[in-house]
Amino acid sequence: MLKVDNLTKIFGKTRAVDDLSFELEEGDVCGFIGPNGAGKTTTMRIIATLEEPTDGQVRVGGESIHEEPYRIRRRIGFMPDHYGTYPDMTCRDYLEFYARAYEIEPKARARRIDGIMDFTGLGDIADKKVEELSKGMRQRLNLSRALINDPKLMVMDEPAAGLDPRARVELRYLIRNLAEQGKTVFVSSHILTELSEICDHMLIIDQGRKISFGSVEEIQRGLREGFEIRVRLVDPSQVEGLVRFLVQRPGIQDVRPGENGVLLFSLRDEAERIPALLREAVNEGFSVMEFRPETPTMEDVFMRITGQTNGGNNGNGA
Amino acid sequence: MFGRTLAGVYDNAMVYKDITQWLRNRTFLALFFGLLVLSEAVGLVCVSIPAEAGEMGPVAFGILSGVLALFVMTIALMGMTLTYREFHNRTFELYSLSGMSLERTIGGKSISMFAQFLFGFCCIVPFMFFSFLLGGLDFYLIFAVALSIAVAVPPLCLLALCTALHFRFKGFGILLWVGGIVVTILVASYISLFFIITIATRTSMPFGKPLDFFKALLDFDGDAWNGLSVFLLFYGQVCLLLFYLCCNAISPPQDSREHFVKFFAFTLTATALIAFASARLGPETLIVGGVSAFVMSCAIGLCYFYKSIEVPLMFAKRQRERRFFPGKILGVLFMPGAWGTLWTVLLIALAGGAFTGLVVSLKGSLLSDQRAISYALLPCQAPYFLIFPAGFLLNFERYRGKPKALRNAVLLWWVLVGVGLVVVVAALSDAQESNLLGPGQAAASSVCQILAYVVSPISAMAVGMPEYVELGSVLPWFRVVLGGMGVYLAIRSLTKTAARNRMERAKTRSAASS
Repeated sequence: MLKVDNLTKIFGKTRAVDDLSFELEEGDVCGFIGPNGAGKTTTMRIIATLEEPTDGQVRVGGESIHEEPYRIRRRIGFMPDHYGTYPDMTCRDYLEFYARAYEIEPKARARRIDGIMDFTGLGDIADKKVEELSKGMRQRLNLSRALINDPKLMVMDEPAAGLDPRARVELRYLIRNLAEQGKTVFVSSHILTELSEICDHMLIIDQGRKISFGSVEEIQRGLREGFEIRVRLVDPSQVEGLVRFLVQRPGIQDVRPGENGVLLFSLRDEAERIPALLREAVNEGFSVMEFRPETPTMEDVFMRITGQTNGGNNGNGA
Repeated sequence: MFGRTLAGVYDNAMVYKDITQWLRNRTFLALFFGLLVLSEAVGLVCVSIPAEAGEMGPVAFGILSGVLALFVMTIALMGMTLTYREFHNRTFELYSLSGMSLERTIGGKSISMFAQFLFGFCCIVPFMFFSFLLGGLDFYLIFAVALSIAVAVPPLCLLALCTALHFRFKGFGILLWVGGIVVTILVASYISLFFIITIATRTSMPFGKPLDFFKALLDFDGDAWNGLSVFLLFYGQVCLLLFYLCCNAISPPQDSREHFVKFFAFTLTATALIAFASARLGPETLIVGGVSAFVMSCAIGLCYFYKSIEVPLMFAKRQRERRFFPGKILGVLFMPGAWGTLWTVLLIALAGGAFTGLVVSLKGSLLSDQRAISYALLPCQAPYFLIFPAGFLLNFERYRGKPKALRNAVLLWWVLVGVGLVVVVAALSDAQESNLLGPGQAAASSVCQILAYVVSPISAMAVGMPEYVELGSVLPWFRVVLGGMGVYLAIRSLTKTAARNRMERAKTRSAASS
């Protein structure tokens, strides 16, 4: 559905997007992560045909943005980070305007608008003026606008920005529903835990370059050079003994005793080693209450990956 | 075709949006009741004041005409502020994402502004005709004024849109800009309208008596109808030029209407020259015609020559798909980008030169030979004045690869250097006439005069070539050739670089696809 090849965009002396390539299939939900100024919005604007790339190719449904930008516009729904100006219009007027702009047949218009308003939960406030809506409701209206042409690909730039927790949960639910309808969703956000819950793919970029792309599990697994194990003892006085016990074992690094009988360490070994290690500790007489490998959150992944690239760059620079 | 046009008007999303916004706005109610109450009040007051028969009619009519003109200004200002906000906070991007064409967008905006005007027009004009009953007024005058205002509205609305889309204002600057532009355009259009009609009808219709013209029209006077057709020809072209200037402002790098802008700029100049030529010929006509062609060439050159080098993606695609003669040829001649600008500037300059040459050959006896030739060559020298300041400025790093900065610098060069030299030459000439200059200073004065003739179009037009200079008759020809060559070489080098970049991009693209 979406194929990006060697995409590059240069503004003056800045490479906003640098040789970016990835591919999404129909029904994929892909989270797009990167620090501020990483080139997320530029990439999305290029996909939406609003910017011309300096180099590279983008294909939506097999058609190139260089050859058929107008046809592609009809296939995508773009939710930008800005909202526009619509004083003195009700939600229904707003959608009616875009339905006319997309040249939807007059007979089908009302049906389409009602359907979308039901889907996004705007039915009850159809006659409310746009400027009176809350941020969450405006985002729903923005989403309704992007859906009016029944797009195959949804490009959403920071849709959760500024929303309260409830509105975020509702938005997540809407995005999942879109994927169930077979739409490909390409969504950027700063709220990373949220993305990991709704996305089946992740694309991480920094300074315009792709850092990582794959399924959420793949990214988390790829990051892991072993396991981060958390141990809690019933008797906190045993912690020192457990530290001595662990450092003598092969493959164990970075043992960090914490408070209240908690201890963290890294195990650079196969997963089968974890139950064996637990058995050994129990046999040594440690009263273990909790012994579990910790899964890195998307925040951890993001911080570690972008930290690595920054470190790498600094290293190069030095 | 007709069905599509009708649908474009009837089912235009922009018309729907703008009219809905306007009707839901409180300003609409205030305007609606305000206009009605004001018009009725004016009528009642004029009826109730005891006066001689026929005294109060013109008073009521004058007030109502003023109110209608004020309403037109309000509509233009409201449309402009709304469009300005929409354009500069990127709402227009969302419109273009829907696939709405540039023509449909700007057409919709213009139609909705005209519809808003019609609403006020219908409120006020019946009361204007009512003032006829108070006496002292010619029925034709009321008709003429109402029609004139209605005719002025479309270009005014387009001008308001054009201003909103092309400029960025800060704070109260918007009011100053709008006020200045509106007043200038109204005065200019009013004067030019009757000037054109006067020329076209070859009558010495006194300015300030448009009534006679309208009466002549209703009497089916041939000259009057001829004048009207010439006016409509200009009017249509001005409206289309403004319309495409608006379209072109929306997303020029992707899909522009630059070729239409250039085309109508050319036809407008050509039509003006023909109108001048068909009028009574004389040195004044010659100067006005030549200077207008010269100014138009320079304006197009400045606006487009120092702007886009590459042809926008969508234009190139459409041009490839064009199969038939007029569209294909026009697309090549007035193409967006540097080459199209070169052809347009040359076409306008050549048309201006040919016209002036024709007038000189017919009426050469009115002018000295050298002066006549310098007038004839004036428009043809536009390329020289466009390219040589830029060639000099490109020696500085800050102007390389920055067409906008270069354009502003060239304009500044023309104004500052040109006006500066005019002042110096004037001062030195005064001193020379009073015999206050020594032999060295007299030579300096001659050098300044030659420099003024060479470096800026403003000083060249103001000072002219001193007749005692031996090179006087050769220099204009030299500049015509030099300007043409300079522009050609500059564009060739620019387009070569652009083509090289394009090829490199295409290579990487095909490598990526494979």
